[in-house]
Parts: sequence; C-alpha cells; structure tokens
Amino acid sequence: MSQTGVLTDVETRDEDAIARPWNVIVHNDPVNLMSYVTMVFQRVLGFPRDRATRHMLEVHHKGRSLVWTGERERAESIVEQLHGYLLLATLEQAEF
Amino acid sequence: MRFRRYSSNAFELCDIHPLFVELLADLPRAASRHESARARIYQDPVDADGVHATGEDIEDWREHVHPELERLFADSREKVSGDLGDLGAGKGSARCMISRANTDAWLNVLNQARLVIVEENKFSERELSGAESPDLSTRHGLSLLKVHFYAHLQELLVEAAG
Repeated sequence: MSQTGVLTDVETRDEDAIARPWNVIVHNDPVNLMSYVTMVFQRVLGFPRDRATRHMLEVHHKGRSLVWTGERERAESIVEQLHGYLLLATLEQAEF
Repeated sequence: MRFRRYSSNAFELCDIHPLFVELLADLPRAASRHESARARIYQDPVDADGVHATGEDIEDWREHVHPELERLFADSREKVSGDLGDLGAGKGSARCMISRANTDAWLNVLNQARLVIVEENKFSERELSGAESPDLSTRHGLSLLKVHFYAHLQELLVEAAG
C-alpha cells in the first residue's frame, strides 16, 4: 500500500454533523377560543381542518403541541406569525 | 343583536342592545391598553427556561419582531375603529358593517382586548369558562361580561369566515 501515514484523525460528533432542527410548540392558555386556534393552525401551518383540530385538542388537553419541525429561520417565522395571532408559541431545539 | 352575513362577503351587526353598543364602542380602547398584558402580548420566542436561546437571541427578537407586532396590532385597531364609525350615534337601532377584508383585524382586536381585560382582572379559569353568570353590579362582573361578549363575536366571525 502507498499510504505513508495518517495526517489527520478527528473524531466527529454526529450532532455537529447534522444541523439540529427546531420545534415550534404551541401552549395552552385560557383565553384563546378552540375554534380560533384551529383556524390559526389552518392558516399559518396550512393544516387541513382535521389535523388542525387534532393539534388544537392536544394543546387543550396536554398543555402543548409540537406543530412544526425544521430549520431555524422558518421556525422563527412561524412563531412570529403565531404571536401575531396572539397564540402562546415558542421555539425549542429538537433533541437527538 | 343580530349577525348577518351578506353575499358581498360583508358582515353586519344590527339591532344591538345599548349595553353591547357600549362594549363594542370600547373595543379599540380596551385592546390598546397593552401595558398590563405586555408580557403576554409581546412574547419572547422561548420558554422562561429556554436552554437553547441566548440573551442575544431574545434581544434580537424584541428589537425586530416586537415592533412589527406593534404595527400589526395598531393597524388592526385602526381598521376596527373605522368599521365601528359612529356606532350608536344615529336615532335608529345601532348597526355596524364589517367588511370581509377586515375580518382578521376584528379577530385580532377582539383577542387583544380579551387578553388585556383578563390580565387586568385576573379572572379564574372557572369564570372564563362561563360556568357562572357575571355579577353585573360590579366592575369585575361587567369586565367578565365584556370578555364573554367579545368571545361570542369571535366565534361568530371564525364560523362565518371559515
């Protein structure tokens, strides 16, 4: 073999190699109406009505629902739109 | 009060009881009292224990996003004020036309007002659920009635716009 020696030997960390996605979480609050939250999910996230209703019920019963996962810039844009509709929404970096 | 939907995509509130005329007329003003509900209306993008966001992220959000939201909310209040016009000023029963183009502004302003009033009065979840009739002899009860009335309007508009 022609190899003469190792020039570099770096152990990579998988979580650095793949950009960790961001989650958009919507939280329950006692003010927003269920029908309104469903409508906002349809408009902002493009969910069909049954999926929007499912996420709204998850927010209502479990206190939160993960409604979108992906790259950070888009996640921030979604959270900004949800804040514009006055829903309680936050970003979280997804765990591996 | 009657709620009508026209083929022209406009909505009309008519035959409005004088008490509800007052509540409607007060809507933009109630919605503008943001100070008591500022943390709720202008949220940060992470939980309080948001371990993944830095102080810089939050400062950026406050610097760039919050002013845009302020403009959006103020614009919505202006549109609703325009629709309300001189509500109740005429001799006949009060009425108000809402163009379909302004539906989102109405939904937004109704939500702003409800959030503000709830923060100002610290209503319990039981009170907000409508399980009890509000005591209209108190300011607290009148404010609760206002929250319920605005919620009712929101329901009508969501259903009609859907």
